[in-house]
Amino acid sequence: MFSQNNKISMRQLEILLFLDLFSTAVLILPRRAAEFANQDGWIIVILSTFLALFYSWIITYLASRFPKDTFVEFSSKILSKPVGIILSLFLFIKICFNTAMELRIFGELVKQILLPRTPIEVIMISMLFVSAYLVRQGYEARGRLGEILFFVIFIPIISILLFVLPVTDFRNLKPILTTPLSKLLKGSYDLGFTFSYIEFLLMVAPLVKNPKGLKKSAFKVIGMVGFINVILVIVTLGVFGSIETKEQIWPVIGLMQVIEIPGAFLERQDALMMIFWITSVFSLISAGLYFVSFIITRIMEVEEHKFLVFPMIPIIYLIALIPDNIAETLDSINIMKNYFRISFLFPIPLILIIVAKIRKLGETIEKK
Amino acid sequence: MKKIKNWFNKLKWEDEFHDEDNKVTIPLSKNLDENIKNLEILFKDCGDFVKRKFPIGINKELNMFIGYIDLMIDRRVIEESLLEQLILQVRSVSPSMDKIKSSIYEFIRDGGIATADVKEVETLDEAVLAVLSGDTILLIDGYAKVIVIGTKGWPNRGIQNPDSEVVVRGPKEAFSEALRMNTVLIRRRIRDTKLKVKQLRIGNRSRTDIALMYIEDIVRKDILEEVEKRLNNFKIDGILDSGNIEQLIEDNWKSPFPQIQGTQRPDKASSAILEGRIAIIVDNSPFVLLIPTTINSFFKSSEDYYQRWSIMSFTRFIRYIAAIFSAAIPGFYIALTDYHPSMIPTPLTMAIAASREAVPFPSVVEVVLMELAFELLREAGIRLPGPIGNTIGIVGGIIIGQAAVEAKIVSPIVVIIVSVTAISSFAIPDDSLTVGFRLIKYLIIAFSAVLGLYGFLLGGLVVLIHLVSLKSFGIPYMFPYVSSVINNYYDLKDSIFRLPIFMINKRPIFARPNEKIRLKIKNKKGE
Amino acid sequence: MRKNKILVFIIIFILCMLTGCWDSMSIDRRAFIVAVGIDKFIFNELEDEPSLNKQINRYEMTFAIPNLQKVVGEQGLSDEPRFVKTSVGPTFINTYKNLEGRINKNAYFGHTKAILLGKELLKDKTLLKETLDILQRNNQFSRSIPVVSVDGTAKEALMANADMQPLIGIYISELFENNEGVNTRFEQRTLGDLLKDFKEDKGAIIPKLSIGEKDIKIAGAALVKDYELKGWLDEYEVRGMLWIKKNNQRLEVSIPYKHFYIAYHVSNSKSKITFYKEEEDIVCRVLVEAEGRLEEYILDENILDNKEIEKVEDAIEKSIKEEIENSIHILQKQYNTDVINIGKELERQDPKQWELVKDNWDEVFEKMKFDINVSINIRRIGQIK
Repeated sequence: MFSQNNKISMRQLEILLFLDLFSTAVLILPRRAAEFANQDGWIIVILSTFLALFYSWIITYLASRFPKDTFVEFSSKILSKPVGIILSLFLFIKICFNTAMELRIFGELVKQILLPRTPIEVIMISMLFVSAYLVRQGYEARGRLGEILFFVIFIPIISILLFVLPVTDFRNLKPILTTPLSKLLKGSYDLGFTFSYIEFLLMVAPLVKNPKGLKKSAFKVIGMVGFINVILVIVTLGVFGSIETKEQIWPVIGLMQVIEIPGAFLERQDALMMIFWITSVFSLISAGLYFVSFIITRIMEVEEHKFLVFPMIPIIYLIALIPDNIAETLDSINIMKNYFRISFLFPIPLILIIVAKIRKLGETIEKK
Repeated sequence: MKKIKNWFNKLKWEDEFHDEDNKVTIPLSKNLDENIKNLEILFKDCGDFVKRKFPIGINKELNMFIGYIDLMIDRRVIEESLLEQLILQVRSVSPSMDKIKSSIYEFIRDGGIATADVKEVETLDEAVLAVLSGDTILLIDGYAKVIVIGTKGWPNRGIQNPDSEVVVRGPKEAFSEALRMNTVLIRRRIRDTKLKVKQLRIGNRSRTDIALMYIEDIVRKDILEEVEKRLNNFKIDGILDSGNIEQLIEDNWKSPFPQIQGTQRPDKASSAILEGRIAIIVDNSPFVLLIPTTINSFFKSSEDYYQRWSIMSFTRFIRYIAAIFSAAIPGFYIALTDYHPSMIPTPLTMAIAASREAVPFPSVVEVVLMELAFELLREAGIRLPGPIGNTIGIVGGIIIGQAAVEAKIVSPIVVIIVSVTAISSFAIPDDSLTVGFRLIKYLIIAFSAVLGLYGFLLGGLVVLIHLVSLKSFGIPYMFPYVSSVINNYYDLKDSIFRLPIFMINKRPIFARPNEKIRLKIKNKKGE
Repeated sequence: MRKNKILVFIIIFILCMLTGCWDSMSIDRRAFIVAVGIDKFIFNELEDEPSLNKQINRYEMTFAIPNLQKVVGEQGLSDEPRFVKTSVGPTFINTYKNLEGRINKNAYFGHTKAILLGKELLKDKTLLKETLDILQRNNQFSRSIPVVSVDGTAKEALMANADMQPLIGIYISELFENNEGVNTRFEQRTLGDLLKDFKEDKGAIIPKLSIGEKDIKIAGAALVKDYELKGWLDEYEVRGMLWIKKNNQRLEVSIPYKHFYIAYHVSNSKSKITFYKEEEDIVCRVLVEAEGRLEEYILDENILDNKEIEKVEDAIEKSIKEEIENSIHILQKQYNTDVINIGKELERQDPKQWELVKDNWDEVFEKMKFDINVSINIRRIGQIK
């Protein structure tokens, strides 16, 4: 009546996008930024945000040309069906892989910090099942859950920042702008991929009630995420200094260990602050699982995506088990990044736009 | 095989008078004696059926028949308005019986009965149903029509104080079992012709009266249609309480959370109706169902609007905290003590560890044991009559609070945990929601016991996912915390916090979109 | 079909429940190690068992475990308020595993309140590096645990009979917690601070713990450079250093004045480091500003007089300046360690200059000239003239 189970409002889309983008970035971002530019890392983050805005501009332009289609359909329309399906399968593999790697990193971290003796398989499987439970409820449930999780994730982050501020030494950010420009650019190109989940926008158009404001929303969210990322990087650098930020695998978790909340009931907040992180990873993995099953549904042209959720679990789970250790996981992510990540953010959408323009496909809403 | 089937078929009640919906199929006849015969067949062995055939007219040539169920009627009405009129007055009308003989039916209907509540029915089924509902039927020889005289008046316990949903400030009336009384309680609060009372009958055998109450121009049409559709969606032999209806029309039977609110308070029902919700009143049940429902409605007490906003906002907030506590505290305790003791402050850790030293069970068993003991106490306390029920509390308190600790069966901290949980669960205003949280508690305990804080979180996520996927008649259950944009975030004003009453000047989501304004203040303060 | 699915799910869940709870450990089955003392193992022929005399044993670790029932105030089986266990081994983990064979509970570091490093360990570069690595790698150790150095062995320190709180770990953490703001003869260094110091500055100071008859005392510091103990600073040297390093100090300065002593209490202090060049040499200018109240003077002498106050201020400034100069001198000449972050400050203020000197910073630091300026204000003089 008021809401079909598979349509979400623009605000819910914004929140989901926020959760997805923020979760990928938040943990590793300070380290990566410091690796590229030491104390100037925050500049990289600003630059990469602009890069992400550019990507999202292209993607949303394409998506709003075909407001009723997902990537699967409009790529088939533009580049003939076989090519479209191959591209979609490609996207499918990529999201599978990303989700699996996220899951693996997540498992490693939970094992390391919370449950040292529990098999990582159990940690990963339980997370997958809970995600699958959500995915089976439809995209709208995801949108609604996002609205609640937003606070679960946002409040801890804000409180971390508030409590860390007194121990932040902003002198650690000095000297400003000593990093060469080439390094800054390279770093921002690299960090731009923390925003790679904007490629979900290729598929959400038919899931949104009114896909017209897609571009505006995407810009808003990316701007917000970028802003918080910058603050987070500044604070992390301020607390640890650039050298130690580089040394830690998960500097934000380290940040959580530094906080001492006066009069707190709990002795150590780090494990509690994991809550915010687990929720954000959860939203990420469920997003991956959803879109993986969604792409398959669209390729196979089935109506109901519910039945295709469970078959996806073993696929993602097995991919996640491939790397031997955390180093290999991070390595394979890097390989993926070098060869694949850019493709759906920039080249493929661009080609699609050009061909679509030549063949005059899709709605041209830009005209006034 | 066939034989057995036949044998079974023989066991079935052979009934040529009723159809499969238990409706009487016999037609009314013009002949009074035949009708009486049919009625006697139908009411065979019904000792409570009072019948009388009597002739009227000076020559006693016209036969009439009245029938009713003993004590379901108001005897005074029958005697004063009916029998006296018919038997005494009609006889003394005029000798020219023949004149009116042709219009005797109209004559009696219009002039012979001194009460306003007179109906005419043309089937035996309706007549029988009227008798069974406490009305009196009047049959006249030569007419295939039945006059039904409203004489309902059975014993009931009157209007009493509500025994749940007690408030400090506000009306102290509660709904009672009689449907008509309940509609009156609401009608007295909303004197508007647009307040509709739509009556239905559900139950093949019980033929329970059900009334849908709503304000015509505020209620959302689609919800009303959906409610009616669902009410007509099932056939059941009997409805004994509104709880039966609730379970038959709710959206998700697997959920431990109630998706329809029941209330005993007429003021609560009236305020719900004013918000555009639909009240379902079921005869013989003091609980009125309010549809649709969001989780927020369960956290509201009618008192919230009678007391000042600051204190009620605070209370609301406390109630939400209590709900979370009642589901989460035992699980959280297990996750912390068994998995992450480093999060507990050092002195407390040492105190807990020292107090657990001699306890033989793992803490999961300890917590579950105590929780179950508490559930037992609660159940025993409800079932036992008042004075004995109190002793259960004392015995339970002593045994569980003190003896168990001294015997080192449980550690004192677990007693604290369980009592905090229990107190929290009592602080939720609606009992049916409490049940949901009580069950969820065990789920979270299980998750926490296996995976510690991570499991605790997963358990919480599962509950949240379930809650956000629930809907009550199309409205998201977690509204206004999710999808609040549908109503422009308006409903958040009356959610965790209740803002001052002049700010809540629009109706919530339940109302029709163009009927939102409910409060206009002419001269605002300070202007 | 549907029923089967649910059944399978339930079975999996129950299996998890039965075989699960991998990490579950009742709180009373853990031994809370409140303090860890780490020493270098040195074989003592008179006392130790001969079997310990192997090359392989490098660490000697001491663990202090509270007797919980005594701590809570109940009647326990043992009268000891705490149990101190020592074990030796080639690596940190091995040593700790050796301990596990000797206590009846599961050792748990989540509530460790202090880490004590023995003198010999601090002198051994490899061991100290290893120790710091494991303390960081193992996430059981919170980064906010205070670390102290012991002039002696950590074992002795943990065995000390402090009468106010027999649990040395809690003693140390409470001492830091309650007195750090008001006493500046030491500076608390947590594990996190220390790791950062070592990584960024190559040098660090660790507060020094000395063992008394019935108590322990924390004052002064060990100065460690390049993971090696360089020497000890006494409490006044630490204080002189902290004038530069730390803002918002609350401390007391007692100096002789005329024929008596006066005490000045600083309520707020600020230091500022700037650099200027003097004939190709970098000169570091340190400006310390402080304000506070005069707490002790002498009867019958009037201090409520601007000139007198200025005189007192001058005397105090002079004394503080001497103190700071003394500390810097020791750091420069005796230990040649830049623990006051002059190098970092130079990098922040003048990155180009830093590029020139960073490779031989030690030498530059040793020869660097310091220009110390102290300016103090007496804001209040108490209740009498």
